[in-house]
Amino acid sequence: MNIKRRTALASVAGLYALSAFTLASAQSSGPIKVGALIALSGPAAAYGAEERRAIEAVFNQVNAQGGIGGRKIEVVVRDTKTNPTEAARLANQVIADDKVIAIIGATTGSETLAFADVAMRAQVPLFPMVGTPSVTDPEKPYSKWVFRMSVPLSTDLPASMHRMVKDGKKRMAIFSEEDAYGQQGAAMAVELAKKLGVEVVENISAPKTATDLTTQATKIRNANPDAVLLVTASTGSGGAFLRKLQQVGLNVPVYGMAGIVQKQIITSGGTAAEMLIAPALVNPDEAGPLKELFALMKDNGGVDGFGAVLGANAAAGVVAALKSGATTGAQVRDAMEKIGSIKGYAAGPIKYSPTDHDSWGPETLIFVTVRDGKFKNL
Amino acid sequence: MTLSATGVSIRFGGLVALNNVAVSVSPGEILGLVGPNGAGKTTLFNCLTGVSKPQAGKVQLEGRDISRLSLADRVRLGIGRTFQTPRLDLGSSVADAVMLGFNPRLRQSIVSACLPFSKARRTEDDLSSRARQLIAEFQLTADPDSSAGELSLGHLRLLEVARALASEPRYLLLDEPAAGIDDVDRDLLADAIRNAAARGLGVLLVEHNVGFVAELSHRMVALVSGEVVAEGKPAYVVADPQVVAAYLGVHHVAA
Amino acid sequence: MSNEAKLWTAPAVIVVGFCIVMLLGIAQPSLHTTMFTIGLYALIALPLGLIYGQGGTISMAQGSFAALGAYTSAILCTRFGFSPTLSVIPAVVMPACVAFLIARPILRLPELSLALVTLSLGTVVAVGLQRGGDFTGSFVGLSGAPPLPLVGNHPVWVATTLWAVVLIVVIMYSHFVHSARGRSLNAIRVDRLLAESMGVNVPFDLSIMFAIAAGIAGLAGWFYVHTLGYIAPDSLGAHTSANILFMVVLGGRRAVLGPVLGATFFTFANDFLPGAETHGLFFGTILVLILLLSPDGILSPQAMRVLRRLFSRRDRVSRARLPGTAEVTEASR
Repeated sequence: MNIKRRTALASVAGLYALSAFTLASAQSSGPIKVGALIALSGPAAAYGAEERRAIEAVFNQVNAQGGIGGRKIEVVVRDTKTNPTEAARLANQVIADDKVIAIIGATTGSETLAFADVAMRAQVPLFPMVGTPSVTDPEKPYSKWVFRMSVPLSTDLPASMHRMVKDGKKRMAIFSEEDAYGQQGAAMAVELAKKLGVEVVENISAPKTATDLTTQATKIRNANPDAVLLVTASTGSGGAFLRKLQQVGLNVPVYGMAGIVQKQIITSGGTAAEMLIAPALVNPDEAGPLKELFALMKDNGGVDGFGAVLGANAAAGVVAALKSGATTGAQVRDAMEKIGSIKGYAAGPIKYSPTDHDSWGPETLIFVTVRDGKFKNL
Repeated sequence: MTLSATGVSIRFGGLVALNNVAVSVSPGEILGLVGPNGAGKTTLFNCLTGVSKPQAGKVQLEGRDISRLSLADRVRLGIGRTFQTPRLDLGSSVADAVMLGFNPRLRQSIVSACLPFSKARRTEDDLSSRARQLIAEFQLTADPDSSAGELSLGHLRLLEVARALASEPRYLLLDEPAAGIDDVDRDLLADAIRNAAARGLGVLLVEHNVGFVAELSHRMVALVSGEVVAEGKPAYVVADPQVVAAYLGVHHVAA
Repeated sequence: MSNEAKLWTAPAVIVVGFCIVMLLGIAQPSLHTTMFTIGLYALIALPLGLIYGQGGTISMAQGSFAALGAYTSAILCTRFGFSPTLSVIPAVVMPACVAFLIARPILRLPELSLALVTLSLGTVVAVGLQRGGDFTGSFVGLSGAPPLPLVGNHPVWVATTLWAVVLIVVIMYSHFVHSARGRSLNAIRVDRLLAESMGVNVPFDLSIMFAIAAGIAGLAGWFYVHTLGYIAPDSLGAHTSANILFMVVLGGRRAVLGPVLGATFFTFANDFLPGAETHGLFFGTILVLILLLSPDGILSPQAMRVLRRLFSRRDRVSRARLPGTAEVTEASR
């Protein structure tokens, strides 16, 4: 009895130790797996769905043309539910089980930061479609493995404010959302206003879950600004805020961020959306310089906003690295810094270097406003 | 050397529940406290156990003023009690329900309670066997591990007496233990009370049912409208005209 | 069922379950990190099972206490150069102290008010963390917390360490419920007057238990932040607290293993459900169904009694003695 029990214990212990040392073996045949950790539900789901369509469209196109050196690209899509804890768990899952060589995602900054360390340790490069500055903070070791696939706040916010100055505005009110993006943006806007000689007459924020923005809109009206800076990437609250401004009777241009140029802002803002002037990565109603993106998305659900640009470019970046001969995560990372301009789907070139993991500059932006329920290039 | 209340008064708003009441129980004595509904029996009981505090007068335990002490403190000093409606976890086993009674005498640390092979573990076996003895002694059930919810009301009352005795009290206060139980259980209960008194415990028996008390008590106190109207030998108290009148309803007593 | 069996069944189930899943992890390595997630939730949920299932005191602040522990450790490590080995102490003590201080006034409240008060406590913590500026990393959160001491980042060792802690908590919990202290806490749930008449200092005992629950949640937070290396205000918080309560109620709040079962179910169910929107619907329906069938959750005392009867040898013998039942058993085979 005792001996039997001991043997059983020993074999369990042995198997267990074995499991501890099972190492991820590099795959050399079969499809190349790329993870896509996207918010398909939760608050950021509006972007996630479009990102997913664009990513799959790009990879399908490459696969239809024979793949990379005969190997197909397989995208492993997981829903992060706009939740950092869930995102980290899923990152571990696609890295350990699916052995992905790169991860496109996440949709939000805090989800990305939740698995940045995990990815770095596994030597898997990340392509987050977020504007949050800290994901590429050069002081953090993980930033070596992160390539931003969206316009950073440090590009579109100054662009929007320069436009404001060019339009002759002097008194600015700031409205931001209480999240990482909104708070960092508001702080950046205050700094920049000093340099540009614009007076900040009101600086107000609202929680993401706020259902009534009357107080905020009234305070802004009472401060009597000649322009409003809208620091949010959420079309829902952005639209609600525009409607409120119209309701309280303030009729001045509202300068937005690139993230808000989505068809939903027109639905949720109604005629109030016509106050909006924003730098955009894409005008969903006018192909303009983005003919290739529109062609790509034509049979894949069309272009609703910048989610398509981000997804398509992230996938195009991975494809470019693979085409240059990279077969492992580390090689993809190195390739991204060396291959120069990526032939992508943006208005301007995207080009990373060892010192620049942000890339997306002002030339990727086009200014738009809303007229008669459609976006119009300015 | 008694548990006593002296000059105790309590009023709820305008209603005088107790007015300058004095009672005392000595070790080994069974004191019956009777009175019609609303006479203030339960209020006095609560005063002695610490559920409520007297507005005037004091409660003393062997000379020490315990009027301000909490229910928990008084239990630890040796005042055990039962409840009118049995209070226990009906989902727990009979053994566990009785074992709860040992708690006032234990000073167990949380750490000891959580650790294997600790002092609490050795205590646990000891308590378990003592509880089983009590269960056998009170004939509560043949299976101490069965659920307490399966017991009859009479057995639940007996269980409460057993649980109170587990805390090794010097005084045992029983709140209407005989209400609503059958004759067999009542006899078991009467035996248990006599045994406790024989072991030197002072027993205070609060009852509506005069017959049960008169049979069992050494001495009786009758409360009517918050005042002591008669005190002495059971035969004497039962025959007291004010007591008879109160029970027969000649005096109208507000509930 | 002997006393020893009562004490060691739950720990044995944990050890066996853990070994099985970790072995399956050889085929599917992500099971190792999934085990980490389950262990994390179990560690936060177990003490809630203790204070809610045994003590009748609901808390919707467990997630926030975990966040408090995680942040305490992350701030000490990234800003003041502490090592995680050392910062584990404040990570436990800090939430425990906060819990102990607020416990006395709030624990008198009836169940529903208590749920709301503890829930708003979570909001206070979240807002405090969001508005903490650079100190708490504001909305962005804190990254760069060093990995766990000794075990580092290896998923297997991390999960093993975490589950070793879960095992210790389960052992202590099992012993606690079968002790005088455990019966005191149980008495508080049944009836506070009963507890007092059994010499229990109810407010003090409840406060201590509330603090211990918060401290263990803080320990889970410490594991969280030093495994992921990152913590944000929305990582652990009100939604975690709600999920934890769900796990406890679903798994069985009265049983030692109830919270662990709930955590396992919750984590695996997550993989099979499409989106967060349908979660509320799914989990809500499950909860309503389970509570209708068994108000004390899956591992309810009733269910346990049935199981025990099925497996108890003594019962089988006594059944065999009754001719009628013996025949039925024979026939049913």
